Amino acid sequence: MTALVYLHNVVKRYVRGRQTMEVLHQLDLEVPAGQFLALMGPSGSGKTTLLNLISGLDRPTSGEVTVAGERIDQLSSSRLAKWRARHVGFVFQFYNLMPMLSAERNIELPLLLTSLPGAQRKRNVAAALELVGLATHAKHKPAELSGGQQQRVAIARALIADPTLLVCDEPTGDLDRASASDILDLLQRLNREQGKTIVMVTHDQKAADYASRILHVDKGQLVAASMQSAV
Amino acid sequence: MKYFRLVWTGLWRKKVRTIFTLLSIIVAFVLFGMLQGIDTAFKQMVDQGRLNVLTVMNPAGLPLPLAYLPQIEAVHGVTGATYRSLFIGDYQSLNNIVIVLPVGANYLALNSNLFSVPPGELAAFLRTRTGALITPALALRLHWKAGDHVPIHALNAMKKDGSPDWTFDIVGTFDMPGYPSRDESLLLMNYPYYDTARATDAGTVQMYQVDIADAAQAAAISNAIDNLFANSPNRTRTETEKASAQGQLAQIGDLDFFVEAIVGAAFATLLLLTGSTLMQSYRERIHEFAVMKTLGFTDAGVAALVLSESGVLGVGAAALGLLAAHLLLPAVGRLAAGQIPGLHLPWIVFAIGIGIAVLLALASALPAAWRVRQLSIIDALAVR
Repeated sequence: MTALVYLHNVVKRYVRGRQTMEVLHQLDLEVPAGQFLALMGPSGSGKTTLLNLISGLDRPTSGEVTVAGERIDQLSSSRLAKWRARHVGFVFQFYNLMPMLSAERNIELPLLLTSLPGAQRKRNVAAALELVGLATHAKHKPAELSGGQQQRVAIARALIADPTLLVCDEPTGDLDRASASDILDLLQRLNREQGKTIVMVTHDQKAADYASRILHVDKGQLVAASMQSAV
Repeated sequence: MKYFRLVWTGLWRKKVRTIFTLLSIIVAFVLFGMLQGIDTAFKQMVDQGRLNVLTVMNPAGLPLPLAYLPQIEAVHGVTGATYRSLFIGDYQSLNNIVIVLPVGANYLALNSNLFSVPPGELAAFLRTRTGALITPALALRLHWKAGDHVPIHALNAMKKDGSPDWTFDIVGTFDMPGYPSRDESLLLMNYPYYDTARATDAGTVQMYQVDIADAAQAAAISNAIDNLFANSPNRTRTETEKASAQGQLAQIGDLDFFVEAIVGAAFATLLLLTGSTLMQSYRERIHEFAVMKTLGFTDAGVAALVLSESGVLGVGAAALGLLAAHLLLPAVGRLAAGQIPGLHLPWIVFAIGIGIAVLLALASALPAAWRVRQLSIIDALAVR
């Protein structure tokens, strides 16, 4: 497997008032294409910061971040936005759906940034809804859906533009156990059947067990690693 | 176009707030359209005033003796003189206001470049004491045609028999191509019928119209006419038709200043109101904008969505307001009983209104759009 995500000597500092905090310390990481990686660690360990750097939401203070063959730490803001649209699908803990848009319109959002015609967008959205088992809920607004269903819509939105990488920040953190299992099953299926590379941040060991590789982040450094054969 | 749904949805996120903002913009543009329409009508009156035609009126607004006519005609440089009066009446109800102009026998001949009357109808008018010529607009409005015998209930002209009702025989129509008055409900009647039948002010006219050969001599001829009657109890004020129109306009005050002050105040209020509304809307949606940026919408793209929302709201509401002004102005003209002919919303005012709406929309949305553009995804997503 070739490395889809490559981080070398990455440092991330935040300035808050007069204080400068180094959140990540000269971190190195490689994630091969097709891997399902779980990043675990206590609150404030830097795992979400790491995820933000991998997904192009943030830039390192120093070091190299190469994802899908692009030095994303060197891209301009607008090129980075376009890169995200093309390469990254996002799943958040609190779903982050647009409350005024129906499920299908939420899912369609990333496709608005493509040159796909309306009819094709509609077909793709229908397929994505089918994939996440919500074909009958296309017209529902987020408030009319359960937490698990909202997360499925978020996953469909993350997948709709066929991204290279799926990043998930505590995707089951706001769900009950049954819904969480459904979502994790779905992510694992996407990884195994469609070869999607997934990087997931989680506190939950049970969630991490669905991944093919687990990394622990503590105080801004990767401290332990384990490879899972299968769950 | 594919982004329009996003813009539209964002706009109606808070329906009540959007409706109130929409209404305030509509009201401001109704005001703008109406005031500009009235201002334009007045300016048109002045523009169409002729320099080689003088008007002779009493400076106190009282009638002038008809006996002045031969003296005015005798002034050197005068090529012709005529006269008219005016009263306002209605046909069957106050909704059908008619402006009646009793005119001298040579009035139409002297204004042949202004009035277009078929020769047969002109002849019929001159030989029929109770004959009346009407504008095509009036004929259309009240379904009158030649041969009709119509009563007009005068609002300010009683007859000797104590009745305010004047009867006329419609003999034809007259047109005023290129003049806004052609759309008014005007009726020309023979002066002798008016003068002999009315209860008061017999032998007087409201104004004289004097044609002169050389417009450059207008001031000298005006002075000569006014000097003729300087020591009379009915003094005159003579000026060119254009100056007369300007004088009437000046009596109202500096209309341009009033229009600009009122419209300026309305728009400044609107700018602050919509600006603060859009900022409030922005604050409520910080998280959503951050999500859009996360999904790959560029900083400029998200800012453009905010500007578009403001544009759709501002321009849409302005268009509705201007349309309402367009529909209301003729009604105002009817209420003014034809004193402001040609009241309408010119296309240029409509276009300027839309231009102002675009500028206001952009200016009011700029702070919110700028903040959206500068919004940090990480910071915004961290806030819930």
